[in-house]
Amino acid sequence: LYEDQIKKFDWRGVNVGALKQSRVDLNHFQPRILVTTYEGVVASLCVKTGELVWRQVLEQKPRGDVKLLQVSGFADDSSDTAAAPMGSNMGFDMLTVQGHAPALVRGWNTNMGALEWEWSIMPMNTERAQDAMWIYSKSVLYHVLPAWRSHLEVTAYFASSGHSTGSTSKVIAPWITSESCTLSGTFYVCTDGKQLISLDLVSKSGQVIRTSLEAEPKGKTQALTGLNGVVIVDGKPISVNKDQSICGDLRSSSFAVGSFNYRKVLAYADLSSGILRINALYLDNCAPAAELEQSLPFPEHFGTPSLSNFDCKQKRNGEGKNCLFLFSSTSESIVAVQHGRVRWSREESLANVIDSQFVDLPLADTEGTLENEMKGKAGDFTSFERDIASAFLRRITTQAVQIRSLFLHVIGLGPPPTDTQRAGLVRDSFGLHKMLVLLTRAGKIFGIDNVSGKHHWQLHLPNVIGFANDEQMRLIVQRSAKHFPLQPLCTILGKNAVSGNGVLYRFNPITGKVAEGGLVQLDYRIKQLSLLGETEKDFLKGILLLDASNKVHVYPEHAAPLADGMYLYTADLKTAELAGYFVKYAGGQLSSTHIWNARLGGHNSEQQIIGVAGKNPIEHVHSQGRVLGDRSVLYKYINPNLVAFVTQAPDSTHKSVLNLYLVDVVSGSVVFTMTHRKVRAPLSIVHSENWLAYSYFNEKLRRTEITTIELYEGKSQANSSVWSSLQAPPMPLVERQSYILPTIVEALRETITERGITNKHVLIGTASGSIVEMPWHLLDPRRPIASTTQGREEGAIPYIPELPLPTESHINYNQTVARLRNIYTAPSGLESTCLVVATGLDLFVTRVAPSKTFDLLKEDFDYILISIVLVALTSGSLIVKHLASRKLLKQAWK
Amino acid sequence: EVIIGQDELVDEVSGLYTIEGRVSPPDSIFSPTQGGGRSAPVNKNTPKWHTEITLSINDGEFKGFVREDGQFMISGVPSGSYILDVHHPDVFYEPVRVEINPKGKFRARKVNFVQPAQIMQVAYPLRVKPLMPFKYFQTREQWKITDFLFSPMVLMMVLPLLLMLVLPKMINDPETKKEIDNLQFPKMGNDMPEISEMLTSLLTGKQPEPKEKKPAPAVRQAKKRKDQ
Repeated sequence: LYEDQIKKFDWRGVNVGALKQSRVDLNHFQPRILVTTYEGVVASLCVKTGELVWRQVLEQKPRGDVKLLQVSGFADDSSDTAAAPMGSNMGFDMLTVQGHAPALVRGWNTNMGALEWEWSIMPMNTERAQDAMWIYSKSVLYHVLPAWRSHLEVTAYFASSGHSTGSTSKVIAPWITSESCTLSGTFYVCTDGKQLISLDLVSKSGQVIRTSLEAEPKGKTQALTGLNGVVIVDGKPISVNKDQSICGDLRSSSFAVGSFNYRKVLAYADLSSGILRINALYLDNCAPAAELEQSLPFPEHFGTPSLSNFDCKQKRNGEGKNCLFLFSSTSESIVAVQHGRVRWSREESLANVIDSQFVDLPLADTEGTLENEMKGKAGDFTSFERDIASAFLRRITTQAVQIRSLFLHVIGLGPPPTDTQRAGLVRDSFGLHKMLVLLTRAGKIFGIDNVSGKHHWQLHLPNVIGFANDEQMRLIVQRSAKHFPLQPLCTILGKNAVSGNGVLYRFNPITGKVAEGGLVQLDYRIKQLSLLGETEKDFLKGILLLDASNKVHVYPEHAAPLADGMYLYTADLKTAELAGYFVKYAGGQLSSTHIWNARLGGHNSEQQIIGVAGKNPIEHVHSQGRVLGDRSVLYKYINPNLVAFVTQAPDSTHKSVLNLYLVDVVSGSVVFTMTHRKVRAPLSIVHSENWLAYSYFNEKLRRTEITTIELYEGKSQANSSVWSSLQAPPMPLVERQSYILPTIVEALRETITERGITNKHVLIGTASGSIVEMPWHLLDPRRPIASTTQGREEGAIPYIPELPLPTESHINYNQTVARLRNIYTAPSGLESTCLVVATGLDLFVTRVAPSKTFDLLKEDFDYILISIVLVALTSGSLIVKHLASRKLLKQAWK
Repeated sequence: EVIIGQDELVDEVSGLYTIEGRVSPPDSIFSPTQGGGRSAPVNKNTPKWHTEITLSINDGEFKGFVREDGQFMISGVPSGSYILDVHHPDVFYEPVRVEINPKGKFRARKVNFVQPAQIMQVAYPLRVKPLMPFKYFQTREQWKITDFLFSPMVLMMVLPLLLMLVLPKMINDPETKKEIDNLQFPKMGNDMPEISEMLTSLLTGKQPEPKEKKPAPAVRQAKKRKDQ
């Protein structure tokens, strides 16, 4: 990577996660939005654009769970005096409490996201501390620890130093339960039948307050943030604080408290029929704040909004137009509404990408017309003469069509460009421009330009979740854009959140529109799925589904005959049992036969499968063998049905045992096994061609290691054309080696190209967010141990235990991907180039060329120098020619 | 109901410890003399250098942040052996292995993955210093006139041309002609004995051949393979 290539081929999307708590402050000397998220991120957003000002990524749950966000200027009683700790010259303007054992209290400088101070407390009872709550009042932080159906323990600390005030109050409260109680400001409120029982935990009196309700609450009560002692019961705010009255007969799905015209305002927002309505009331006299009322169309892909916070700029002639309302939504978007419209939005569901596909863009209209002409006349080859005549006629016709379309285009009478062409979504010459389709955990699907990072479209699928055993939803390309004029087609397979049955959703990945019926609710549960070959009629790859009772279904149904002769396997992660099935199509019906079984769980069944790695079905193995030092060929064991399973079990003798099994999932035979002792997760596997690489943590030596395995058939090849798992192939020769990696590995992925000619590199995603491109010949298990040159293979590097990670190999340089989780690769139209997307909390899209760009002129190709040399030589030859002719003329005169 | 009694619960830390230390700013790796010559990638006047650094233990299981004076603390760490990583996007900080025994005693040492038993202690509380800036990018090839002149193609073409131009002029001078003739004569005389010596050496070379054959079959060493 060169310095002038920064952001030329890559872009990064920085996310914070779904919104949990927020504070909008437009009257600060620097207007800001401070948020905490469910991903354990504390961040500041720009008010005008929604971009990140700063971000701090905390630990993951439970340690990174933010329990309290307290910002200066937002306390209910304006009791937020910023007390500075000893030795510091600055106070804090934001306080967070995260985790429970220990609970970490931190003070932050919100201008630049700097930590000012921190302290922690460790509760004596760790399990009960999970239910702890926190109150901030008058520079004191109160730790509220409930013992359900018994009492509450309230401990007070000075907020910025952590010094205890010396006492823990025990408040007897036998009515408290986890599902019926909540904390609103300093009031602990519980529902009991048709009444609320409340305690003011900060006051000295300790009086029990009872508030009657009109009806017994159906849902769980929630606190109304910003008011002390107000809870929302079934969408209706109820006050248990005699000092805080609330307007009656008010009902909404989300409330927020702010100020307008120097008066306290309660705003509420509801969505009905695609219209979002915002209303507000003055809290002192319950008069409507008409200036704040807004209605706006709310796009469907945002899901259901929930008002989180709002603020208004203080002006003498106050209007409602200076108020900014911040919404969270069920599709994990953060939406800012101002002036009656969506001012900006952030798509935070991209912090949980679960599947990704690079989809080819369609052809330009003129090229598409040309291909249509070619395809329509390709079937007439009855005789040699007609072949010649029809070929000639076809050529003349296509030329005429091109000339006509060019002429019409010049005049301006051509057909209008389609929407995709107008948006610039046209395939380029090298196939590097693609539509990146991302499926997220919240059921949101994005179509993103992989070159510019622009969001072309987005969809939202409510009530669809992943499968059991942490198996996520699947994104499948059923038809690519090659078959003009048929549109490309993608399908999402998931599970209905209510019934647990399978769900299919089909859409056009270029336009984001629903295709061929869209949502299909199945009446069975999905156990395994597979992709069939293309049908002849519409070039559609059918989806083979195996349900919980081992019946076979194919969707669309007209692709069912292609399922005949298919093999499937299932793996139970908990019991580590594998099963193989054979699919038959006879008499118009599909059936499956159970043909093999394997139990990897051991005699006590304590082993569990923690990793399954098959091979990429679209990869090509270009080289069938490997040239040895004596010029003979060692043939590769290229079995497309080989799947690697990794199991792990706690062991009394060794700390933990990791087992690797290579299983042919057609015949069920175990090709290779390997055992590692005192080894634990995180485990990452990559499986390609005839090799396998997996990384783990060695508990004994306390380092990360990566083991690589290569399989060979030997000096002779059994069958050079088609692999057959049923003909009892010989057991392969296994080469293996281990290396030390000086980092923690989060993800492994191999590069892939169209024809497999390019070298294979392994992309290593590290815990620090870097992606290192590691050539395979550094991970080769056949690297020689001794340094003798005799018999050395071509290009073999001597073995060194620790693999170097040069920073020049970091393909994302200093653009780290926070909480890197997965890397996806896809071939591009160029054989040298592989498209890469790395997902985690952030998103990084780039391309790599493992063997350099051998099929392109390099970027710094010196056009200027070559042009200068060419011009100089040409002009020099002309001048010399002229001089020579003059010399000859002079000689002739002598 | 009223408060029944007030119990004092003293926070007792049971089995969890706090790792403390100080991180040096990234600009300390650029000396003033170096800074004058080139622009440092990390501006030493940046007031928010500490916001770009995160400390992590065990793959982000425990995280720490740096305060304005460079101090950090990571609370709630159980006893064991950990590698403390300091992450800055542009500057490399050396990781440190921190070991806490069940009695609460701390030890810090250098990270050595190849030989974990080798112990090289470092100070505790920790002092983490920046080592060097990351070099993420390769350097483009620059067009230089010296590279052009000293390329093999140019040398093979230009030097013979120069010789062809210069030598004929020297030969025109009759004095140099005589010198060349004198020089050539002794060369011719010297060559003759050398040829005869070579012939005799070839003939005598046959005799030691049987001796050389004996050490020829060398035994290959079997390659040892490292097993897990």
